[in-house]
Formats: sequence, C-alpha cells, structure tokens
Amino acid sequence: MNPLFTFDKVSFSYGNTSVLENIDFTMQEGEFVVLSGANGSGKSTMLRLLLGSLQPREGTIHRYTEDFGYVPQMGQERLYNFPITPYEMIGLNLRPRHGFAKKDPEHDHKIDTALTQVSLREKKWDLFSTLSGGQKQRVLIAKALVSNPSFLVMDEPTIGLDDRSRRSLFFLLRHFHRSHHLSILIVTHDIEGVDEIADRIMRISEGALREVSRV
Amino acid sequence: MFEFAYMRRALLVGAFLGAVLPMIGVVLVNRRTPVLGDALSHVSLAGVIAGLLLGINPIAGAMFMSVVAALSIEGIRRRFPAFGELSTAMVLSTGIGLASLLSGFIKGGQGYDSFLFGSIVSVSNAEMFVVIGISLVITFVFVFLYQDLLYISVDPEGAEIAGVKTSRVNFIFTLMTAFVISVASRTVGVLLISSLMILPVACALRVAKSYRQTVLWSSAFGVLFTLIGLTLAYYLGLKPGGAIVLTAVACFLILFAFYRSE
Repeated sequence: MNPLFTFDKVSFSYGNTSVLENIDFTMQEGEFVVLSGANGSGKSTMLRLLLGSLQPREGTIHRYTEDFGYVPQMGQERLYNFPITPYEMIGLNLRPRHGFAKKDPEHDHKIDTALTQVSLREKKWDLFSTLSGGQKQRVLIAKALVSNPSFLVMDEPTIGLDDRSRRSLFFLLRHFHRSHHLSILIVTHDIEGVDEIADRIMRISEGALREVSRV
Repeated sequence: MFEFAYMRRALLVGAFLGAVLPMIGVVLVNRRTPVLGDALSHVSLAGVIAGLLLGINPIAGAMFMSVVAALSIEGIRRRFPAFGELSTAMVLSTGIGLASLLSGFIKGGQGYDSFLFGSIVSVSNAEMFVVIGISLVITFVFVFLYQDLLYISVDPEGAEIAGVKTSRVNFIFTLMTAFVISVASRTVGVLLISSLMILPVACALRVAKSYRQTVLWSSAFGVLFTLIGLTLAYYLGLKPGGAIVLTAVACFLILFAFYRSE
C-alpha cells in the first residue's frame, strides 16, 4: 500500500494557543479512516492543514496525491439558498470549465453518472434548496466524486441528518469504499454508526492524536 | 419618441446597462455582499465631484476613485479575512464622507445633481460608445468567469481546493463592478445604481429555477425595467432614473404578491 498523506511531527498554534502538538500520522491508500474529537479539539485544524489552507508551526505534511474530492461541512447553511440545481452544483468540479454558454455532452454524461451513483438522477433539475438534508449531502458527494478521485475527504458529514439519512449515507460510503476501492477520510465529532464501517478511528484530544481501540 | 436622437441613445445605453448591472448584482446577492455596489457607487460620487472641481471628466474621476476603492476593499479584506464585509463598510463610509466634504466646494450649475439621480437623456455619442464598450467587455469577462464566480459564491473553500484562483477572480470581479458603476453613474445616477443591480435579481429569484435562469432573468428584467422606465419618463415627464427604479420596485411587488416560487 502507498501512503495518501503523512503528518510528520506536526504542531500548530492559533497565536499563543497550541492546538496540535507533535502529530505523527499516515493514511494509506484504500483505508477508511475517521478523525474524531470534541468541538475545539483540533480535528478541523488538522483537516485545514491537510487541505493546505493552514500551514504547520512545526513539522511537515506530505500529500502524495492531488486526486481527491472534498465534501465541505453542510450544516453552516451557507449560500445554498440561492437557486442552483444539482446539475449545476456537480458541474462545478468538472474540467475544463465551459463558462456560461457551452454545453458539453461528455460533462452531461459524467453528471448523470454521478447522480445515478447516489440515487438522485431524478432530482437533476430540482432546486438544491428544496432537497432534504440527506439528499443535499448525497449531491455534495456526487460533486466530490464526479471527477473520479481515488480519495474522498468529508467534513462533519452527519450534521443535520436524521437517523434514516445517516444510515443511508453510511451505506453509500461503505459501497464506495468496498466496490470502488475509494479511500475515505471523515472528520466528525460524532462517530456513532460510522465506527462500524471504518477501518480506523483516530481521536484528537488535548492536542494529541491516538487510535481508538475497537471493541 | 424614436424620432429624437437623444431618446434613441438613452434607450440603447439603458438597455446595455440594464443587462450588465444585474449580472454583477447576481454575484453580489449570491455572495451576500450586496453592499459592495453601494460602497463603490458612493465612492464614485466622490470621484465625480473631484472631477468637477479639478475640471476633468467626472466619469474618469469616478472610474479612478472606484478602482482605488475596489483595490482598498480587497487589500483590507486580506488583512481582516474573518470580517469580509468590514472592508466594504469602511470604504462606504469613506466614500460618503469624502463626497459630503467635496460637495461643499461645488458651485451651482456644475451638473452635480445629474450624477446623483442620473441624466440618461443627455448622454452624448462618445459616452454611449464608452457604455457599450465597457458593457461588452464586462459581459465577455462574466461569461468567461461564470463558473468560477458561482463556485466562489457557493463554496469559497471548496473552490480554492478545486484550483480556482479565488483571489484573482475576486479581484477581477471587484474591478468589473468598479468600472460598470463608474459608467452607470452618469446615466442612472450613483444613488440608484445599487437598486438596478439588486432589484432585477430580486425579481428573478421569484421565477428562476436554476442559477443560469437567474442570470438570464435578471438581465432580462434589467433591460425591461430600463426601457419601460424611460418610456414612462418620456411620456409622463418624469425623472428617468427614478422612473426606472420605481418600475423595478412595482414589478417586484407584483411578482411578490401574485407569483409564488417553489
């Protein structure tokens, strides 16, 4: 197995407040890893360091692939109330960008395939804002997977989902992990349910990272 | 009214600005930064007055000040990334303060009022070609950056991760906004520009079923409001800028009352 990314003795502080201290961690290709921790524990900071939007105070981060899809946290009720369809949302991650005018049959096919994979083909032209929380999450997964990445990173994917939507999400992720050999990293404060399908559960507490033993 | 050259020019200029201002407005509303239009239009008013006082073209003055203001907004936003709107509010306040101060030196009859509420029927041929040229350039850039602007609006962090040059795209968009506001200051007036950016979008949001439709409807409404407003102004002897904006308000109220989007 090849590593996807490595944290090598990484430390990070916000001003004088230390958040992560001396973190060593490697995720391998094909793994399903959950990065958990209480609010404010530093798991989101670790995600931002991995994505490159923050830089470590000490240590180095090696990312061995750029071939990854990212599903942002949805619970912030960000700008999704503006009219946008799943078709338009998913198309944002396709290259080359075609601007306003051009229609591309190849892009259409990829979007259709991605929507079919998450069982939302019939919602292609609905307004994103009218979908349920679980359906929105699946559209964002389709958006992350439309360019066929080998590695999926998700930030707090269960926020705002009811039990049924959570189970449906975990079923879908397990399917992608097992059938498509997709590597998955989930950052979450709530491991209930996802701990049953992940290969490893890591927990950040007081700046340190340790693996949670499975019962 | 078509027999008069000044009305033909007014209708043409109005149609171009009516199409372009809402394009900018769609992005401003989607990003939840509609105040940017207000900030730049007030700064451009200060530029207009400075131009009048210095004896240079007021639109050139407005353009210079708007671009400086746009650069300042981006600069302050980089220093205070967690307070994006702070930079806009600071520049808005500066624009109002500067315009207020400079207006004290203005003598009567220097055309100051025409920039406050617009003077579309006195647009010259040269000004008409400037408006058309800048409108075409802005439309081209908007079409080219369409997806990047949408991505940054709905998910700035995801856009950055997906390789969108967010700082560059934001900078270009702010410059586009500054340019279009400068040329529109002469026609619809600085106090009404923001309305013509936002009201067509508000109407489009009632009827559009996608982002693409929102853009198309916004521009269509913008052109329609401008042409109806100018026609009403001509036949009823009204101020064109006010007639255009109140037409837009009336249309929004009708859509709000009778058309319920899903």
